[in-house]
Amino acid sequence: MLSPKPPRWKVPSGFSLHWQSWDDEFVVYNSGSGDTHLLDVVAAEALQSLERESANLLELARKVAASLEIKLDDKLSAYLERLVPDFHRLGLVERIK
Amino acid sequence: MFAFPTAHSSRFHQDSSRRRELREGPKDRSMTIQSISSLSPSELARQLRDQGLNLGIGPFVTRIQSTIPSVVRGIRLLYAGYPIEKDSTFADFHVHLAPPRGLRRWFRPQVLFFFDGHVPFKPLPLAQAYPFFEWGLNWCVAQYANQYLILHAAVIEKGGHAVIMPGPPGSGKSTLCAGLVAGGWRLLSDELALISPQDGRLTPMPRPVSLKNESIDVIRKFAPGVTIGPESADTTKGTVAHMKVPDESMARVDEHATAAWVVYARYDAGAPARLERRSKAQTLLHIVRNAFNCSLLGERGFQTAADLIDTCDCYDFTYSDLDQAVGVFDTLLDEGLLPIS
Repeated sequence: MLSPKPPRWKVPSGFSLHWQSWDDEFVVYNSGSGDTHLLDVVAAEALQSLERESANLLELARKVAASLEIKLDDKLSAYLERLVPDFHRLGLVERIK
Repeated sequence: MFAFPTAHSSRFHQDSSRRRELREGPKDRSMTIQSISSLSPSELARQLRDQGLNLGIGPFVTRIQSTIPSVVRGIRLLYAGYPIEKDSTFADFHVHLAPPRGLRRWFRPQVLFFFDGHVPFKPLPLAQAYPFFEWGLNWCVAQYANQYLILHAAVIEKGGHAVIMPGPPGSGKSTLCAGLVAGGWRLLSDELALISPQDGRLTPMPRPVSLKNESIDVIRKFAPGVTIGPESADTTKGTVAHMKVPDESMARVDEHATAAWVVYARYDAGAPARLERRSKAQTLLHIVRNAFNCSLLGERGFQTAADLIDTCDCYDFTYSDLDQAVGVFDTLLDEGLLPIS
């Protein structure tokens, strides 16, 4: 039996995200929902990566680790596994069908 | 969050030349600018009773009608230096305070606040008519002046540097604002910061400073020379009284200002005055989520707030002693620790 492909995620193309950052704190305004969110550096890098192109969780972890020059370990993977569904719930990303 | 109707922008771009003339004197001697203080008590009462009075308050013209004595007296005392916009054919806000009809007039009398002929609030006891007028005016601006990003915040200025002081009711923001204004800072607003999305500057809208409960006596003792109107007891905020805007702030009502600081003030009994930097990102989040109309302005609102925070230093300020608090602000300003724009 074939294992299902891992879901891919991306920022919806119908609206834009507006960013403001100071040091390692990021604020993003979602023009789609009208909501504003405070993100840490990992969450901001993940969302900005999904803004540029779609990715599954493994790809996303690799990109974030490379961009921030941090270790790709279980801790980062677990964090992104929690984070991306939160992004989805907040309307910041969508699952590609 | 409320759904905000879009304001008719043309209503809000008033020619400020009349107010400037009030300060500098008319260019043409045949023209004279009247202020509330130029009217006799009976003439003021007549105009408020009949056609209404067009009062210039910062960038807005408000047409006020009322025969309620406490409202008439309050306007006479606390708005004495405000210009009467006699030639205005329109007003931004039409406000009328009147008792409800029926037996209520005689039994536990109440007051209604009419806005453009509508009644947006439940009636209050007649004894609270004057604070109702002030609260209602705040509501008018917060609801309809959507050409500005509007924050629930006091704004003061000195030496070209404006301080925005957001804060929930009861935080001590108004007391500190009144103390700083009595101590020589210019009042731009006690309740509503009006920020232009075009250039990020602050538009003055000085109105009487709302003081509550113990703050009334604190300010009376701190600045015996200031004028404070009558107290209204048993309001939802306790006992309320309003401090008159100093003449110096009124004279500079047309001078916009650039924000240098965002300060979250909090009264803490017995605590020494303490200023601590706070996160800009946290401050932006709070500003965006608590602005009256950021969601209505959308991306423009967010960008206006983001630009504001980017150019300001942000602080938490705890205080208990007003002298000490004013001293901290003045010292910081004197030592040039404020960012120079």
